[in-house]
Amino acid sequence: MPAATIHAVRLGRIDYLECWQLQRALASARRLQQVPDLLLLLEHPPTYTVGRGGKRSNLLIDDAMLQVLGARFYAVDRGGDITFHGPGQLVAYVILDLGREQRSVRRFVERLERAVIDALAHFGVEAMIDPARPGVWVGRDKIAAIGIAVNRGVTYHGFALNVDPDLRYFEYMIPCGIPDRGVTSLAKLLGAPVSLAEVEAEVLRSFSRAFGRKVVEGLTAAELTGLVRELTVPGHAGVTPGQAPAGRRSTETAR
Amino acid sequence: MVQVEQGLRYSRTHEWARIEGDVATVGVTDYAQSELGDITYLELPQPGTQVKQGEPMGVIESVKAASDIYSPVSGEVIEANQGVVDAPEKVNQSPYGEAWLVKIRLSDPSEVENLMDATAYEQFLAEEAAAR
Repeated sequence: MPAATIHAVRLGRIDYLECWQLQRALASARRLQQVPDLLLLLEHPPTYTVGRGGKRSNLLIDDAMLQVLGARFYAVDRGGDITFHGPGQLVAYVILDLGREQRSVRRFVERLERAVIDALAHFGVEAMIDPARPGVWVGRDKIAAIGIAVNRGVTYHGFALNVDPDLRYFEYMIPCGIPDRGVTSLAKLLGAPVSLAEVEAEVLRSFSRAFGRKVVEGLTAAELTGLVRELTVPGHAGVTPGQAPAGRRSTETAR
Repeated sequence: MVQVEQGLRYSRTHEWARIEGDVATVGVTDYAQSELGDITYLELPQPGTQVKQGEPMGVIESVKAASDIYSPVSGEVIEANQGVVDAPEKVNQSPYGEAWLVKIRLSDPSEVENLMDATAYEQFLAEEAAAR
């Protein structure tokens, strides 16, 4: 069912685990047609995550060092290997019902990449894709990472665009398991600070263009979480936040 | 042009099943692999797992996206293809051959009637293309 409006919601800074549960609840609700397609824009506190096929060994530090950094580590249900999230990085999670096009994930990921590239172009940065390495690149450096889950035809997770994060966090990992590539940020490339809000506004526009869909803002973060709470009543089929996805347990290694 | 193999049964989520007696060999179609992109990782159900027609039974990862694989039939998994787990790119190279995923002992053979034959699946693919 294409062409309907996508609702964008700005969540501000939100804990990774809390947001992961929110995403899964929203994806379940989307499947039941209880919520529209959603674009969530947010920022996480320092968090390393590894995707389904990823290796913990691509994170180069132990639990004690994670604690020193004030960072957390989770094994999650998206595609891709290791990635870092932290303040100054714009995270976009996309809860979209692909319906009959649920196998066309390559096209979906290409649209996400296009949205990021267009948003960066607005700031005068020429970014590109590398067909062999999904994500968005400036030269040999990654500026946005992509990781998606498609569960019963509904997408969640999304992309993480380095606007102005502390890039030192990336030194403790092998980004996406690719050893010979670097990481960059919009602020580093511009040599000047950029506000997250400014980039968010541009991503809303570029996302709309890339997907050929109208993107509207209306729902507040509080309204969205309230809606999920309402939908999440005991015994309700589908919406089960707080439950690890089948066959996969989140492993929290830092407290 | 995507390949559709005669003699197989097909699901609307683009899995195929080769029915031999009460055992179905299952995989994803050529169309599925071409739309998914380069396959990099697979999670398959282990032998002994009960699976249900139309329900997720595993995960297939491509272009950093982890997607459900649905079981086209109900029954018990009797074999998982370790060779394709170790070399997921085979799904792109040989979706109907070497890259079969699991073998399932059917608990309800009449369910096979819910699946499309090759002709109906070709028609289904044509409709998909037209809807784009």
